Amino acid sequence: MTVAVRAFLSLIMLAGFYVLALVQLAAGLALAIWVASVTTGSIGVKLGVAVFVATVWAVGYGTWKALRADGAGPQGIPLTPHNAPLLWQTVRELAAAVGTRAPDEIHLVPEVNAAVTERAHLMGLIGGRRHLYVGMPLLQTLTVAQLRFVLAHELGHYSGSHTRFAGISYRGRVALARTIGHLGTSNVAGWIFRAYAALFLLVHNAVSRRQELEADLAAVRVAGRLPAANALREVEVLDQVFGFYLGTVVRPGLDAGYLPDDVFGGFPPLLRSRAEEVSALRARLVTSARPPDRWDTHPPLPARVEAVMAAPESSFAAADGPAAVLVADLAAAGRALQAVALPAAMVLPWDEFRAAVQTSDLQEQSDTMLRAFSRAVGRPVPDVGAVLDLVAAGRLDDLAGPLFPDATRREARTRFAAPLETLLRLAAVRSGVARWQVSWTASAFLVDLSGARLDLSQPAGLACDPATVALARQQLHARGVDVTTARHVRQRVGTEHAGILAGITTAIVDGSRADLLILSHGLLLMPGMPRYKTGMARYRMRRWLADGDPRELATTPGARFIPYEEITAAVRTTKVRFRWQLTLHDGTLVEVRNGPQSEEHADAESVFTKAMHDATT
Amino acid sequence: MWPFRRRAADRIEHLDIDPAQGDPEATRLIAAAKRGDWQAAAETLRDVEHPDDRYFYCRVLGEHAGDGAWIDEWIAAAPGKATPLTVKGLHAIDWAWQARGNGRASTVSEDAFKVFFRRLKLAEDCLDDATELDADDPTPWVGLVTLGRARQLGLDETRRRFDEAVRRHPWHRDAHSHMLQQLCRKWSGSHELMHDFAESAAAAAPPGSPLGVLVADAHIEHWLDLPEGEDGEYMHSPEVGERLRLAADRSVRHNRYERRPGWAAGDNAFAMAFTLNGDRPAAAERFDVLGDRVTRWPWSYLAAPDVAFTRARSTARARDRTA
Repeated sequence: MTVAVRAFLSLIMLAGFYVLALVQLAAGLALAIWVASVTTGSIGVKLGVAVFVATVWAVGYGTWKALRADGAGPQGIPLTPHNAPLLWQTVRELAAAVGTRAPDEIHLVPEVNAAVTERAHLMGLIGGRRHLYVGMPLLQTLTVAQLRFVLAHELGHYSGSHTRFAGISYRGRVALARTIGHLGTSNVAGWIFRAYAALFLLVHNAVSRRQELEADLAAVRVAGRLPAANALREVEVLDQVFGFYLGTVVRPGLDAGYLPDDVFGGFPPLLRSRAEEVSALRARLVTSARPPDRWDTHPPLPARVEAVMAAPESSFAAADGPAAVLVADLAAAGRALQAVALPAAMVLPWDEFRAAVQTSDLQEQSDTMLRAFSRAVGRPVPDVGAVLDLVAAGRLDDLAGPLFPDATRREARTRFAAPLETLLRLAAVRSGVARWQVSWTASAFLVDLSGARLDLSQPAGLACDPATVALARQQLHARGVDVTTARHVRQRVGTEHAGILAGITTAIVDGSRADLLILSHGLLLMPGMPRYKTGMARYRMRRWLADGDPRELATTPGARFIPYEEITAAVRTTKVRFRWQLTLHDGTLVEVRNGPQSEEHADAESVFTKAMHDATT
Repeated sequence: MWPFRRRAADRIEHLDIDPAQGDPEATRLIAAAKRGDWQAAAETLRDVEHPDDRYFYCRVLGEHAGDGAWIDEWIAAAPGKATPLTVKGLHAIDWAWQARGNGRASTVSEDAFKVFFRRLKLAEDCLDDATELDADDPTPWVGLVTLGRARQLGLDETRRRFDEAVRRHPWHRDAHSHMLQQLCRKWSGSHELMHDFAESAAAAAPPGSPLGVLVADAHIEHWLDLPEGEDGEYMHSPEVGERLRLAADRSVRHNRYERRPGWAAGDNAFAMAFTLNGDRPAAAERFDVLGDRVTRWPWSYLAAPDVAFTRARSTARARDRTA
């Protein structure tokens, strides 16, 4: 599709959106006038206002938001010709080869992606400053030949002038999305807008898929067929593995407040250690791609691979070797990127980082148990020594029961050895007689001072019986484990690391108005808005759901957090309405119900029902 | 054919199912359970020595205990006594099945299963406590065998419990019949395991032992498991008839066979097995011994138990007619 047609289509379709709003307004007002003529004037006025709000206000709001929307690129650090001379040289050479102007800036970004943007002027008719974004994991793991394809593909977007109108097209999409998001499901005008938006997206995505293929073909001419096919596959593989890496290695550390000193440096070793899984994933991606969908922005991988393999072979010699050589000191650049792209945390060398995360996880598990114990016995259980005291005092059934609600007393007594061993492991770490053995290939485990795998199953088993708990203590003492060092740190579960799942505005909690936030591990009750500000409550709830920080919200005066683990019973007291009675562990009753102005967000009632079910079983 | 003659031949004959199986002590216990009179129950149970009788009486009590509140009074009034805990445990098993219903697992709702498992857990806690208070009584162990199956603890665990029961009384009637249930294919066993268990227990037991009934039980379970057509073929086979007659000769037809409380279940099993096998004289003989003592099991596999019983009985007694 030519540039002119594309621009035309984009503009026409956006204009059509506003025309649609005007038509709806006119039709609505005509209806209002007719209603006024056959009934009383006030009903007509009310209807007129409703129509106005449903169309003009909704569209105006969306447009205003969209105009302020800035297509800012991803967070990253600049790569200059000084610190990445070979990369710049390659990019310039490739730009010349695909017949376009080289970018003005290159940025290193923390994701498995490469992208180009252009700050075009006059809605895209005049070109502007060009930015190229290159993902750190790509530089770390691709070969030079593969990266050349990725870069040439992005530059191909420039030469095809795909970026020129990206701005207006992007703003159009944002305007539509904002407008649609602002419309309630019961707004009749919304149904028409939504259908129109779907049509716009269909056209836009069809164009986008064409552009991707166009850019692929431009790139294969300068990168060669094989590197092109490999690069296409590798980027998808790397995307998944990098996501796995962030989710399983980095995220748990951040949650505990730690980061490794070289986050990106850990990725290649992980990739190597998981070589088998990675090649299985690679095979799966090629053979079992899902069928193409009209909503896709990119063509399916097999189609892209097939297209580049069918293209004429390139006359350029494929350069081999790792792409990392294109940046003078990639490791240093990675560390600089980490400093701007990742949140602040305590930075530790890799081994210490992994050990710290393991210990923090162990502490978390222990705290959860110790909280359950102190609820069960009705007083604080300050450390693991106190647990053994309770066993010796014949309270074993009270401790083990809550951990194994489905088990009989006899079964719970036996099974109690496993959680007890976890507590004793924490004591061993805190006493300095055990340390973590970490590796990329296996999950971490504890070893004792001699280097042998730490095995505390024997004292744990003995400590499950009041008759032998003293013997367990002797064994632990002999091994240098001081049970009082494993302390109960988090006495009450808070809003740390919680996610906001859903919310209800202007609910009635114990008779007063409150906004109810359903978090991943508790209910957060925010003081309600005054009656005349229900619209604000809705706006506030949307903002919280989008990017609220529960930890910060919980510090609001009047806010109240109820962790799920403190809810012992939750009963829906009527089938017809949303009305629940919660019983907390300390016997407090909390009544939560819908009020006349309540509004549920993100399917709050069913999320709440599920949360209560999970909390009490 | 005369229409009214046909009607007369198919006339449905109803019987009352007496849970006491005609045993006067059991009748007294049921009355006591319904009154919530634990003193009378305790008094009656005090002199019951034979493990088979103890289990039968405790179960009868548990099954007629209503909401079971009076058992808690009994437990409170007799601290350190195993019997009320055993009765409470057996009551909780019955109570759990009331929540679950007798259908296959697929017919039971999630909520019903939750109540089922919660009550079974209560049952097990009671029976565990009973085994600790009276280490020699096999009765709670029989309940634990039942629970091993109901709580799906696996074949090995149920067998361990069974071993505990038979260590205390090697020829325990109900320990064996519950163990046989666990070995059924429907409860994660197999036909081979089930028949092996039944045959070897029947062979090892002294002549006249009620364990011969296990053979009839096993063939009935096997028949139940087969698809329509194959089931009748299986039961009619001469081999099954042979095994049934041998087992009956060593148990219910043996001159040393004692008809202890709860005995009717054994003759009912043989009566049904012989009926399905087509051995009408053998079936008729069982019916003559039984009189009207119909038991719910195994007739409930066929239809309403009393109707199935009387229909089979008239077929067996109609010697002049060809089958």
